[in-house]
Amino acid sequence: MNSQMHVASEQDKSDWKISDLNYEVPAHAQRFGYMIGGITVTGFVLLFLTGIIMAYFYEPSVNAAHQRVLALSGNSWGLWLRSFHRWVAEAVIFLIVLHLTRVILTGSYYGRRRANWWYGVILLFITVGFFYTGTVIKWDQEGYEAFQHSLETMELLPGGAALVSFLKGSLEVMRMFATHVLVLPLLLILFLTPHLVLVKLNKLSPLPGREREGKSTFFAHLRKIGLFSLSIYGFLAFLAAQFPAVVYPGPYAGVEMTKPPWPFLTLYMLEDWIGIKALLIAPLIILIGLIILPYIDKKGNPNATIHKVVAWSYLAVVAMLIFFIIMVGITPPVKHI
Amino acid sequence: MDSHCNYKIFKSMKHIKTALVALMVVGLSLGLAGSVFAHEGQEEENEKPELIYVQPDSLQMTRDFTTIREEVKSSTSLIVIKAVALALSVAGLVLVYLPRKGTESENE
Repeated sequence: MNSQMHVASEQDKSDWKISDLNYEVPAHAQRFGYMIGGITVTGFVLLFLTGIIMAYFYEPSVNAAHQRVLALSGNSWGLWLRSFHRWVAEAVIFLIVLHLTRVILTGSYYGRRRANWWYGVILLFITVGFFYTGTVIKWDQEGYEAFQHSLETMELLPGGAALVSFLKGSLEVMRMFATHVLVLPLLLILFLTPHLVLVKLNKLSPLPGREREGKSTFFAHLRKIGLFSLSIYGFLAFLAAQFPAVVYPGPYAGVEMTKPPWPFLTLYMLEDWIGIKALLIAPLIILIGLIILPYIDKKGNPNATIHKVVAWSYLAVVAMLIFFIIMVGITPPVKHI
Repeated sequence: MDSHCNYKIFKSMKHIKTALVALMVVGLSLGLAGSVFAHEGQEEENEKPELIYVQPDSLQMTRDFTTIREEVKSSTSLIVIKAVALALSVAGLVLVYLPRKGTESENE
């Protein structure tokens, strides 16, 4: 008893060292597929930083928002900063889908990982929310049309009329801005924190086909995430300077002349087919499908037939979405509302 | 918990890995193609109706985005940004694949 107390006392005296965090991780933590989540988190950090700088030059009002965005773009550094923010936002959406694909193909959503899967699904929708509100607050024709579409969609919801009357009006840009810079970041932190903690508690999901493998360290994992991030976001910084993010004229009422950014192009095509309710039904189907996935494929065992069915169905859906996006991308815009 | 999976199927299913790589390539191309094609022709409009909101004189920009983009296209700052960004990107990639002393065995 005394010796135990003595040990505890010695531990209490020793300071935490940074090397205490350098715990062992499986060797496959060094594979790109198992680093996508970390690279995405780096993207969020960059979005926070660039967003904070841009907030100093922005005015969230219906009369001034568009002009402030144009004014910021009038300076080469401002233009690059805004474009980089946009390119990183698009990359984060893409990386999350890639992360989701890896998790589905390796069946890493079963048992104790189920809760973390749901956190991930929520984070996907929060990220899409960021992208949507970010599109709206530049308040050009693209943003205005996106906002009008969401109002029409909200009216389909029970109690949607009240929500629309709250959002619509002279403070509409202000309310979208508040959602973008206050509500969504708060939700992101609220769901990302347990998501990361659960990765640590559950340990990294196994790599199919590797029952026995070597070990690596958490710092080596972080180092590689950092280098991949440097490479990816460095390239995006180049693209932002070469192909700046467009600001459309407007906004003009009564016309529909733009197409949404690529993550929403599938919805645009579905809206062509079945009308505005597609904007409500399609995300709902995706949400329900992702939530119940761990119940369909309960063990996530890549040997099981059900897992193969899930994996190939998912790939088929992704291929279909890519096809839709390309189809809409190459066809002229049409009027919906 | 993980031991019940022997994952034999994945040893032979190289196509899953190929599908992932293909998805990455398609996705990256899509990002680029989408950003180019998605907005093509959107700036050519028949006639523009009245602006919805009156913008204060103090904020009125006399130039539209196309003009702004043309003006800043060849600015020195953007050229410097491009050079530095590309250098960082290549450096990151080189360092990822550059073998580190004493870590080769632990990574494989």
